[in-house]
Amino acid sequence: MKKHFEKVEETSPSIPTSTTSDIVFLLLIFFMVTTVFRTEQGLRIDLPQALSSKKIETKNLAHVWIGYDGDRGVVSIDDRIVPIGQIKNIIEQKKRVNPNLIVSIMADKNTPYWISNDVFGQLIKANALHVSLSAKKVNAIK
Amino acid sequence: MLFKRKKTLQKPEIPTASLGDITFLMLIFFLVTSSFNTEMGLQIVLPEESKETITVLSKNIVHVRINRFGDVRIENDPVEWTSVADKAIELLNQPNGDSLIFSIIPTRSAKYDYMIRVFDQLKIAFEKTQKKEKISLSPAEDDEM
Repeated sequence: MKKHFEKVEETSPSIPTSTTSDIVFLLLIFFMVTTVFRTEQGLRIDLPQALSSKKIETKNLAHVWIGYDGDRGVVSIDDRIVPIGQIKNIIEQKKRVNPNLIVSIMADKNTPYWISNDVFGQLIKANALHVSLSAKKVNAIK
Repeated sequence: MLFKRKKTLQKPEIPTASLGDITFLMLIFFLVTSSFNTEMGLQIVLPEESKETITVLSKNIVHVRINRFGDVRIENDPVEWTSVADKAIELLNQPNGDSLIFSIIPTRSAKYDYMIRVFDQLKIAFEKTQKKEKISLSPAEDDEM
């Protein structure tokens, strides 16, 4: 009887570890495939800084990029440069698709205010009243 | 002779048992360090384009004007932009503070940044006093000559 038990103890238990790297590799590929990066490129702008900047949900967001070229305002929506007068129609269309639309204004900090003023005017006409003014969150403004 | 025999005995081998651990560590490292694009911003609700006008007592509106040099005036008093929050808190703590509406009026060629700075300061003031935020962005004024 005693001998029989001793026989069982002879096999040392071990978990096969040679396949863990395959599993991890599969996980890596899974995350690489499922992560979606933002596709909109927008304009090259320098965002203003703000202390009270808050995180905003990206789900219902439509971006309006505002830059300037000399005296002229440049507005880009969905990577297309649009005349300021056209913004109302584009945003109205987006608002029809998603009634909870929040318009995110990505404006360069050095743009003269009148450009954003005109953009706000267009947004009011399109009845897209929920707006987020994008600003880098900082703890102190230089 | 002896030397030769010893050499042939050992088979060279790279240990692969820890490979999984290394890749796992790398996976965790990239999972932790990759930051997804989070957007930060200041939220505001624009006024509706309505036919009827809402009447507000003019004494309850605080005009905050910003000119093209970035000079800030609250009700015609020049204020350093960094102390706009303090000034606003002072006004909000007055007896009629609850009904105050701050109206930001930049001039047409004022920098967007100046407006954001003042807007930020006012937001801080409302946050600190824990009052319902009432900030409006007024249409731009013409630059004074």
